[in-house]
Amino acid sequence: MKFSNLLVDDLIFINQQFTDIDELYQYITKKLSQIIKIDQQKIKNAIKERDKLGFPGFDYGFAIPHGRLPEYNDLLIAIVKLSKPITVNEKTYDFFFIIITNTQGSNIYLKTLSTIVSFIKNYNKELKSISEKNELIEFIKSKDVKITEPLKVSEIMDKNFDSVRLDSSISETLDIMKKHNKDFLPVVDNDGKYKGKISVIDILKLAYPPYVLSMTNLSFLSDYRAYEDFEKKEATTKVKDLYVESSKGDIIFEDTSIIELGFIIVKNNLRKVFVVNKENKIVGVVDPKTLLDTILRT
Amino acid sequence: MSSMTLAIIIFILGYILIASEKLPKTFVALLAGFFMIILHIESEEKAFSHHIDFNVIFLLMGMMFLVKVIQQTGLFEYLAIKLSKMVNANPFKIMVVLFLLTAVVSAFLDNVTTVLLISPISILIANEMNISPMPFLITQILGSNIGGTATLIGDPPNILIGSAANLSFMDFLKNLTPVILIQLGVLSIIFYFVFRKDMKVSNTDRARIMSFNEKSMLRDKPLMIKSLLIFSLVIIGLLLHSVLHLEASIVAFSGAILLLVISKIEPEEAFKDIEWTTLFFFIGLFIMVGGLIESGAIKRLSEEVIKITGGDIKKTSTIILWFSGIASGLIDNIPYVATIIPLIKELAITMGDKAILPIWWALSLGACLGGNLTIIGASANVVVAGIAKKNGYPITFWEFLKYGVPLSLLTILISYLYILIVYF
Repeated sequence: MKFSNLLVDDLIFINQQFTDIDELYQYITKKLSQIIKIDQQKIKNAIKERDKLGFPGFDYGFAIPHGRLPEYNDLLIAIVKLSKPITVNEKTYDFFFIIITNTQGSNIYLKTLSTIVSFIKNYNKELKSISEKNELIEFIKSKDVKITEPLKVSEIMDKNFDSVRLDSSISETLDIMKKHNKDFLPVVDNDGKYKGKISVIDILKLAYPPYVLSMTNLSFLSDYRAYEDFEKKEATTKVKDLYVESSKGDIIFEDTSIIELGFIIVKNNLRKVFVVNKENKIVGVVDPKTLLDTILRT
Repeated sequence: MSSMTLAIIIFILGYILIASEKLPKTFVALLAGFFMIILHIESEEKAFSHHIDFNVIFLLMGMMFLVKVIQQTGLFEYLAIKLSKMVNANPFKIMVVLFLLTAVVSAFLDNVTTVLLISPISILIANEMNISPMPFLITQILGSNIGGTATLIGDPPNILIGSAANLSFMDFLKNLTPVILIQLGVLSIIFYFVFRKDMKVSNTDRARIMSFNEKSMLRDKPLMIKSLLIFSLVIIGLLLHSVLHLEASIVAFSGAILLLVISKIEPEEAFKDIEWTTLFFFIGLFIMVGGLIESGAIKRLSEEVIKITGGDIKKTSTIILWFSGIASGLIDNIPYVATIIPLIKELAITMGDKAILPIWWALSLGACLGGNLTIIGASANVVVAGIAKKNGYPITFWEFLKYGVPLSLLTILISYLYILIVYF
């Protein structure tokens, strides 16, 4: 979500004059009250309640007063720039971001607060020199500051993974799977580039070649030579003989958002997605469970 | 340009494209066919009501429905194991019984389905006996093409011939089945000398086969009983279809629909299994060849043939048999037969329907048996080669030629002698 999209035209006031903070609060809460249809006094009290814990003033003359209202289920920002600074607790302020939100701790509220703080740090000089409402709006738009940004795959993926090469033997593959308790492994070439994946089911195909799979059933068998020969075959067969070649949609770039990740997982019914960088080298692996946990936690 | 020249050009172009396999053959046949109509070489009226042989289309479709139900029952794998145990798991005898089973099943079902059902279990049996599955696969290719020649419904060329020449299931049984049985016998003996040495199996490996429990293959007994019942009814219907004055297609198709109804298969499910590309390939071919007929090209060609053979039936049969044999080893025998049929019909006008019967049998024997000449000679060959390759037993073009050329020429020679003895 963009910071500029949260701003409301009617709540931006440039070059106002007030004698003290109380006059400012009186003015701004009246404006807020008109918009959110909540009693002005309630809004004012909420902000003052917060101020008792310590006035939320920052350097360069900026302050971010904020109030929480149980009956208000949204977030609103008012901006007031004074032509003459006022004094609060022996410090002078001339630039106010006033935030009204719900009493429930909301993710967006905290993020908005931190966004404004860092915005002030970065652009205090530019903000101070602004003399018109539109100028301020355009300035904030031009900086393209985002309040919330979806997590990237690279932030939730598991970076500890093993891989096998195309010419690794199936015995090696099984050893790695056993050691790390994995039932699948990504397959890479000699340069570490992603080529596909191999699972225990692919390895079981050593005993069930295509001709067997085209039969109706195997219930007539009590012995099966393919099982007896398995060990021999496992040593001589290479990963490239059994792996499933990379197909469209089974890998994902590390900078993909988790929103897109979920879409790909659900649409293609994937149990594991390998994450690659721009050079097509594997940098991690992510599964639906991790994604779900991430969604539930945030 | 005369319409005859135009028709010949479209036909040859279509034929080359079909043979080259650069484009899907179904689309080529349909396009060539529709160009014949667009350029007014043949009328829509003629194409749809006269040239497209719906008897062939519905017979093929009926058999496709029947096969799809029957193959789910596991019956063919059951039979393959049962027969292998009946010959005491002697590897050479297993190979022969599977060769004969392929031939018999091919006589009633299409060849590709037959090999798709029997070759996997053959590879498994060979693997369990620790011998190469190659001899099994090669003999089954030969068996499917030879067996398919035996009946009206065994192979598409026969379906085409039967419908066009108005020959019944019984006619095929009387005229072709005997010579096919002779060929199967002769080949079984030859196999003994060719493959015997590859068939050494230890006692324990033999015991593996004997301990197969084939009964457990038949999971869905009610479905099997229903399909066998309907299939028997269809065969009885086919034996009697000329007496009942019903086309073979009506018998097979109504049987198929009946089976679908009593086995509670949804129409969506059933129609999904139909090989539409095959059916539309036939439709395209019929229209394409129809253009050639309407343009008068076939008539001209038949006049030339009569000039060469002097209207002699024996001479014509001989030429048709050997020429068809070689031709269908190299090109698809379906378009080949579809083209030759109107030619022979034209000959019948001058020579008489009864008199030309040996020519029809020569065409069937040549076109079907010629499929054994090369690994690309028939669809079943290509399918088996595909299965073999996918499972690590590639059959090369030259490898197959070693068996295909001498044995297919032998079967055509036997057919030649049979025709000479029986009809002249």
